[in-house]
Amino acid sequence: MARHTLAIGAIFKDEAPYLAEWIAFHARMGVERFFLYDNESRDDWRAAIDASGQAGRVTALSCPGSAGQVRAYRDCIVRFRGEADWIAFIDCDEFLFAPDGTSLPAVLEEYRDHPAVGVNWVVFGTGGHEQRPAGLVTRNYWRRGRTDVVVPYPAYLRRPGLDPARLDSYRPMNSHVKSIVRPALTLHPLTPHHFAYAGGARAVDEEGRPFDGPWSPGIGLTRLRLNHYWSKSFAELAAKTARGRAWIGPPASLESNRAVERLMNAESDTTIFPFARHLPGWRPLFPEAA
Amino acid sequence: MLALAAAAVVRAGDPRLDPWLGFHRRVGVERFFLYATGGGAVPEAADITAVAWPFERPHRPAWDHCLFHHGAGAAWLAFLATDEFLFATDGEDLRMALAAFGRTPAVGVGRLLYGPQGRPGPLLRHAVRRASSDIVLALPAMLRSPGLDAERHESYRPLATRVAFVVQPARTHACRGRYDFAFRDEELAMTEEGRPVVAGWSERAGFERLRVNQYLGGGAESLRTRFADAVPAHDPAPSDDWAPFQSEIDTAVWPVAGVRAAP
Repeated sequence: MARHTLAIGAIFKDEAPYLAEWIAFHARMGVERFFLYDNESRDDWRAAIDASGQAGRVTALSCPGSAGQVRAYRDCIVRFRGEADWIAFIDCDEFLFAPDGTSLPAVLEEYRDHPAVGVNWVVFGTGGHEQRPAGLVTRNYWRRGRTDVVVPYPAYLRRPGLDPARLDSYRPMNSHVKSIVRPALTLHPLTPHHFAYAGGARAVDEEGRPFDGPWSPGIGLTRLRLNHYWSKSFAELAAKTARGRAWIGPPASLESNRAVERLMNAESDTTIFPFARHLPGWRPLFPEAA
Repeated sequence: MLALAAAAVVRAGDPRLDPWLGFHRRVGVERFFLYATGGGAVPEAADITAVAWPFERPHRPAWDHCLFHHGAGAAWLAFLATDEFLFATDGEDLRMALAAFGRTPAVGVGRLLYGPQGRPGPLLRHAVRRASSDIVLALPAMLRSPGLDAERHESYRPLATRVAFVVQPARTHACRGRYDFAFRDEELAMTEEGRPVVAGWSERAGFERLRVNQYLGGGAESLRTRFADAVPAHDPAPSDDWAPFQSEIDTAVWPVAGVRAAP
């Protein structure tokens, strides 16, 4: 198999409605290969991959059972170590891109001396959609939380023992990273967000600052960013809540997730529009001009 | 007939003028009507009409002059300042985008306000931090109506809802102020969401389709100086701290402007 500059490693479960857009978008951004692990999906995800027009770039594998994310990532590192210079480990509700439109492989070239880059995300809310709207995720959701939004998840406490009632006890939600790793220098995942690297090497943030753990020293969104469509519609948030969450503490209630969601519509963010507008199914902003 | 022109009051030597012109050419503005205050020269180009404009309060007479003398030659006319950058959020050419608003005499476009860029270099590359879209200034002129509780955030109009106007000159009667126009047949300008614009303000800012990035704090400009026009002399001036204007990272203009991130 040919060696690729950039691949994505991801696990999915019943995400067929979103896969075609997600794959097609990342192919446009320069992702050459997709290592996708199916976690007991009951929908027609194969048809969705075909609909992306990029099926030839997809390697589909099976990863049944609970808490499969870290297992899938571990397998991906071992199995595909020699097949890509970089692997981005992200979810199917996350869209990775360079905000200036530079292709992702070209941006990553700047970080070739490091084992990984931690990419910050911004988290999008429902935008008021009760039910899943027709069309693309990247078009339908354009309200997000503030850059420095704080959500009082226990896992976000800066350290044990801090007053959980104080917002400044928590790390900003958007300082949480997802990792784009060089598999040749990567040992294994520690969480879905961060990895262990050979020789004790450290990941860097987009500004080249080394850091440990799944939180970057600051929030940078100018070289790389991840749009995290966390809730999508209220109906989809309810379904997601019912599924539970992978690792970040005990399962959240729908009530608490709706409280979090209220924070995720504070700002307009259309940064992705110029990149996504060429995807099949994009609903034009200016129909008369289309 | 021009599809889209822009008018601005400019000062000779304003370092923002060249990037402002270049940006708006890129997004579809075909001609610029520049009202030059201060007596200096403005750039010469085939698509620039410069008018010497020695008025102390220049905007309203400039806008009226532009409507009267040049309005008949343009389907749409945008009234901007050289720190205001108008664009379609998906990068669409504005001439195409405005076709979606043909039924309204004018579009009122919400503004997002960027604080000082913090380091020298190209404005659009380095100014990446803006205010939240609900930022208010606790100034009497910003109250939603007289008599509201001046201590409450909700009593003030967000700055983002003071719109920039892109008008159809054929349906525009006159300028009523720097940020206000009157239209024929008592029509109202509308926001991109179809909400009416009253006296230069919209009830809510949109930003899904059109927006204006306004870059504050150029040179030695202070917050107090920038908003002096909104503050009667006897009223308390706002703090000079620009920090609230830098809370959000927002690079949406980059792909529209062809800006590359600084490595």
